Amino acid sequence: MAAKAFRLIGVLSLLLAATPVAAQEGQPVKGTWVGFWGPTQTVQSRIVLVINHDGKTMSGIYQPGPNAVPLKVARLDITPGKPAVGVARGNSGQAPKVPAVLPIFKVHFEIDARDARGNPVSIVADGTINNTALPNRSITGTWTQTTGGNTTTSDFKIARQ
Amino acid sequence: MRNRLITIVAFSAALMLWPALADRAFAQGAEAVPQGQGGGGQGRAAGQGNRGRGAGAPGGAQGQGGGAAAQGRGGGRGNAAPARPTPRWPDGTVNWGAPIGETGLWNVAGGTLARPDGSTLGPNDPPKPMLSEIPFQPWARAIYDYRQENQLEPYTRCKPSGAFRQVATAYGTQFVNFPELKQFIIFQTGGSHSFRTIYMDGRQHPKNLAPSYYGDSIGHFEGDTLVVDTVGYNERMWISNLEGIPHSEKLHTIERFTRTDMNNMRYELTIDDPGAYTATWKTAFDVRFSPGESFEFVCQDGNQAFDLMVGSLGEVDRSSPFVP
Repeated sequence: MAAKAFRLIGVLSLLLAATPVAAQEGQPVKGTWVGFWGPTQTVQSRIVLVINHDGKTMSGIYQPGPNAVPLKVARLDITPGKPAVGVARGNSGQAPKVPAVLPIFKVHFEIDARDARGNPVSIVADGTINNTALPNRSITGTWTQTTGGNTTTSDFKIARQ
Repeated sequence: MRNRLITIVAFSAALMLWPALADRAFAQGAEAVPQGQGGGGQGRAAGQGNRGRGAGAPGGAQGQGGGAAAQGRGGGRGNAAPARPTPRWPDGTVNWGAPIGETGLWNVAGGTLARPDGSTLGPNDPPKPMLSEIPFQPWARAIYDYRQENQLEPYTRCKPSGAFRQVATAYGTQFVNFPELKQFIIFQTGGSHSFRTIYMDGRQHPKNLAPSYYGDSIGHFEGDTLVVDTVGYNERMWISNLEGIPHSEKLHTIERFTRTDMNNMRYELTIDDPGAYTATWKTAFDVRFSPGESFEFVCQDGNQAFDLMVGSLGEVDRSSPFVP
């Protein structure tokens, strides 16, 4: 019993101690993103996206490799934030009178691809960037895929590599 | 059995607390500046010099930390006498360091690229735009706002930082001209304890540069002014320490360094970055020369600036959703 508890707590402690070092980076949508979408936890399809942003417009490639396709539509929508009121910065050690509202970064992209049998596949995805300015940021949202007249919608999550 | 469980829980708690204790012990920054080792004159002594974001926080919501107040005070350690003229070598060229037999390092007084909206510039203040005058792209402004709430500057994790941020490295920088080599090198004490080489041999920037922290710098002299043109920056660092002004890999900087007297250098920065800004813009700083010498600094070992990462007022602030 005690040994089991020790092992469990030890593993949890090591996981906490191994919290990744994170520092903020530049343009948040740029980079290679890898993840999955699928209707259930056991039926998941892999997503690989290479996204670029030139300052004004977003572009990218879906599933880079021999079957790579460019993103037909790619858009970054930003909802501006509001600074905190009452203190200079959120990490100054004092609670602000009015907390800051962080900006929200949303992405939308559409892809015309083909499945393994060569059938056309239409994809529309909408997501929100989490941990926006950090290297370990991710995008979560809704993935809608249509092929052969069948439409499947599910959650997706991709993480920046 | 009970004692054994208590021991296990206590051991686990110690393991969980370790990251916080380690942050305190190994964080990197300027709080522990040894006297006489690049302290940086009155600006530093007053807590408004190159102390990083924590020091700038109380007055720095929109980049007003440190800055102008410190910049008007002149260099040196409380020396109110007029500064000596710019030191020169026998051939008349500017000596960018200390005269023979003396010591000295450069330290930036204040570290923001913008001043608060509504503020005014004094007659001797370096020209610096107000925040609202910076031509941000929308994403860049949003990231700027984001960084005001999460002070996780890559420099505090021992990453190198280019452009202005290198000049503003904690514990001071050394500027050394090597005319025989046609190189001008800026050595930094803190941070990654590294250096930037500015090639003065007339070369052009290489094509197909791989982005890097310092980029590729080429320079020339216009009279006594060193003009440095740099491209090839990566996006993994910040170019300003107190405010987190964003940039992209398209960043092209032109820096102009002019040593105006023994204690002072005017630093002018032109930011040309169509990836982050809608137009080219300029800012400027005064950099102070004060006694001191560079010393061995291993960022990971000497890292004591937990306040720069997780809070600044004495207690580690864990309210941030991000743990550096």
